[in-house]
Amino acid sequence: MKFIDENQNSELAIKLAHRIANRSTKPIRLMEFCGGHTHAIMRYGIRQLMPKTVEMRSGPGCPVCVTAITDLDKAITLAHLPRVIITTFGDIVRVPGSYSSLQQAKAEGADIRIVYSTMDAVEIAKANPKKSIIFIGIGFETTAPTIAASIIKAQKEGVENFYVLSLLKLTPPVMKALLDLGEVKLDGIVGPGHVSVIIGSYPYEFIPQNYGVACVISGFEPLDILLCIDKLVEQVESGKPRVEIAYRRGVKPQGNEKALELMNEVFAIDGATWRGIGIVPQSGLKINQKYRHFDAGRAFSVNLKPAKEPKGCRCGDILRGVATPPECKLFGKVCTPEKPVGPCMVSSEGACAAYYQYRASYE
Amino acid sequence: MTRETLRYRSERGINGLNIASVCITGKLRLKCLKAMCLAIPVRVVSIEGDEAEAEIAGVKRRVSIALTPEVQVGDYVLLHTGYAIGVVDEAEAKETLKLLEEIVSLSEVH
Repeated sequence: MKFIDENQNSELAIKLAHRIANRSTKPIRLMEFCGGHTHAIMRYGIRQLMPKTVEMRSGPGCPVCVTAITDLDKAITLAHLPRVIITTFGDIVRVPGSYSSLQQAKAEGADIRIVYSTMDAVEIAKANPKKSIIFIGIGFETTAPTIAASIIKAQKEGVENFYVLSLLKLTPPVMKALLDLGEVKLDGIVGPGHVSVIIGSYPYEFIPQNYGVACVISGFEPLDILLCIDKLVEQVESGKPRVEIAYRRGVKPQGNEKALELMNEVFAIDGATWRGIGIVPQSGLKINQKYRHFDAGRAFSVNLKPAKEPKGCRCGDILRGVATPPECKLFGKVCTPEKPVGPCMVSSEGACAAYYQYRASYE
Repeated sequence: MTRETLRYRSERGINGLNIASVCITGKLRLKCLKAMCLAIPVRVVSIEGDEAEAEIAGVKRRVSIALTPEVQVGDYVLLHTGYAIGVVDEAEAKETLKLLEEIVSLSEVH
């Protein structure tokens, strides 16, 4: 497929890996902030291609994984309300909440439908005018404009039974939160490619400026990631950290202006709770006043029992890059993709699931 | 050797690099489409209002171009959960590959 095959050229990739190994003298620690990168890095064995000086950590880049358990509990409780249809993307359905999961709620009779797109959720709303359709809106900046577009579409078409529980999160504020926490000293950040298609490269400028950390936005094919690491190594070696784009076919410095306009039209920035990190100021998107009648959080009030994190699960530490999946005692024993204890083992973008799937590559 | 190891080995190419395309087989393609932050390049074959028909490895599907009103027939767009989130810049794609070949050949000389 065009734009994929040519960026998987293994001969070029190996040469690029050799170049990285030859140029890297200082030990550096890099973190990726996108679940797509976590998966690709494991899948293509990028870690094994790296010299000993280059260490790679996964950050809070999997949207399902960073969803707070209280938010998940809320979604599960909403699913049990009468005349409600829950619509959502696939992965979240299997994530265990404090007491149940959406999958279990479905088995108990709740109407939960997995959709490929928010457009499908709007269609379900039109086809079921006597029911309330709640879309569980998880994701980052990549997904936020698509949800904004569906809300605007529903508004235009007069669909009154469509609601969104917005659990959308923003990437630059959580990068700042992790850098401020300082638990893991980072030298470079592998910038999220598709988040940056939307927001561009300017929102990352504070990273080199305030923290002296390199930041290079990467695509998702092996050559994209290797080119990104090559640039990060170069920046660290030269002592000149800056924001660079190594995914120029997709990312423009100013981002996608139309998408940003739609996001601004529908959402307002607010604090958000991240699993393993807690409340991060200015890191979430809530539906604004103008579109408040689409806000499921406002339209439906639910009483929640106190949340309970799964015992022994280290998803929180893994999301902060403090631990790697094999360091969790449950990993691969009690917690597997078939019977996940925490969200990082459920989603294909979760670090635990990626490590498990490609475990021969680190063993 | 378990079946999983076999599959794992067959999926990997030499030196741990995957040579087969990520999205070629139907199953894998579906997985790509389902993942949250993933977007794949698809070619726009026709446009009607804020919707377009796009082709993915011979399969056609309807996509929203509400976020990319500038798109033209023949362009490649990054498809994410049914929406084109950006138009792929072909000139930049070529430029990056050229740059890659250059830096690799440069480091071979030294």
